[in-house]
Amino acid sequence: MSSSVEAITVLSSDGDEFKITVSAAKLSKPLNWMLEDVCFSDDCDEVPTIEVNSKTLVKVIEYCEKHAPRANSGASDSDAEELKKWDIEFMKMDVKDILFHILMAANYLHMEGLYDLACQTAADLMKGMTVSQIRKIFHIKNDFSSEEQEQLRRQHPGCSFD
Amino acid sequence: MNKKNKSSEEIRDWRDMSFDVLMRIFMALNLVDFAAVSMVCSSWRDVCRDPSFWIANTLDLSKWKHPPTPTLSSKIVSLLSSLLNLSNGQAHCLIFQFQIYIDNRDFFKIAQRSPNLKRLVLPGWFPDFTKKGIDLALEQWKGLESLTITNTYIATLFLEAIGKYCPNFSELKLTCHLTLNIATTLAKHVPKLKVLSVQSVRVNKNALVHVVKKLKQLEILNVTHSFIVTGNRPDNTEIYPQHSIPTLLKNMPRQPTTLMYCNGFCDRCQDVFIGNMMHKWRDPKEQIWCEDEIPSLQI
Repeated sequence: MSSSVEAITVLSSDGDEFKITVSAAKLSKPLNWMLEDVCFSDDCDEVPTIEVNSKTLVKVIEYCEKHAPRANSGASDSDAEELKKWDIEFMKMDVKDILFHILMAANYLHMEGLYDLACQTAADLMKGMTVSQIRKIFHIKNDFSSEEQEQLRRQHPGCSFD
Repeated sequence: MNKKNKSSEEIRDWRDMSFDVLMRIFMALNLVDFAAVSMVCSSWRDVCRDPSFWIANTLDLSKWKHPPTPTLSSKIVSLLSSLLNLSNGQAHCLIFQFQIYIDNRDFFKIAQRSPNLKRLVLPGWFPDFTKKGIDLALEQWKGLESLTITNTYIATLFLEAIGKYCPNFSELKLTCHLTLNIATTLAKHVPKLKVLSVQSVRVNKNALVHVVKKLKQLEILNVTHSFIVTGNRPDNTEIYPQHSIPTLLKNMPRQPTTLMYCNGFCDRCQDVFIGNMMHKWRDPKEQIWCEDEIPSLQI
């Protein structure tokens, strides 16, 4: 790989262009492969597309750029502490619009750290909630028939639905 | 650069979230929250019912930090029964809360709903378990491979039942004392045992020798921090330090492949020693129950 390349340009699924640094792209195997393809390719005009929408890709790249220095070199405990705080702030996002897509993207791009973080964020949103509260948070319509609903109540006598 | 049509981004619904992602999220939940998500919508319920979920997931009640009152225990038991219904009999690993109260009837109900169980960690207290109750439960758990037992009296009952019903049983952790009675029961009913942990408990020297001699397929034996003695009272016993264990077992025709013991007299060894000398021999301790040098027996 040519060492002169510091950043590559990628396209989102909406067709917007994004720049991602080489060190940040290393956090994702598929991105890293893409990057090697670009660097070794004769046809330098070709811009790879990532099947992630623009809104989500902005966040994914933001995460990569923040975590790349630590992932590539290792960091002190105080940095780890700071990064943890940053992660918490970073995950304060709309559940339906962004968190959903971040999870799909982190899974698709094999980004363990982001995937873990997003899964934990989703799980934390479910903790201690009743069934209808979870439906509200995740914008899910109750699709059980009234008979099924009654059956569920019988099967889980200790659970609060409302 | 030509832009693609912006409308390609459809609004996605959490009901359609990929199976893998939902499974990973649900695994991070405790059992009450898990019961709740299983009732949110039909697609989430399908994830909660999927066999692969139950093979990977542990039904772990030990993370529960509420005080053990009889009513709460019965609530947990009823929650557990409903989750086992949800699993459709696919649950592989069940860890009870250390201080949960559970009777014969509930125990049998749980066994009936988890016929594919491979690992079971029993609670610390069994006020009124009967031989028949244990027998009926083990008859359901024919595939059981690993068990953690906390009580000397029920240990022998369990081992007899395991000998009768569980041909693949291979791993045992005792957080009660290894007595000569347990050792002979073990040799008689579960001679094919491969892994045995009796760490941080009182171990009768003759029982230890008997186990090593008779369990011909024993691969791993963990006696770390244990208090090795000949008698059963502090005033009439000979005490063997941890580092003498290999010497004790030196003349055996065969040795376990891995023998785990403590080379010095560490803080834990000291705690176990003092606890035993002070006659506090009957308390199964939660820490011993959770921890183990053998990773597959940890909680």
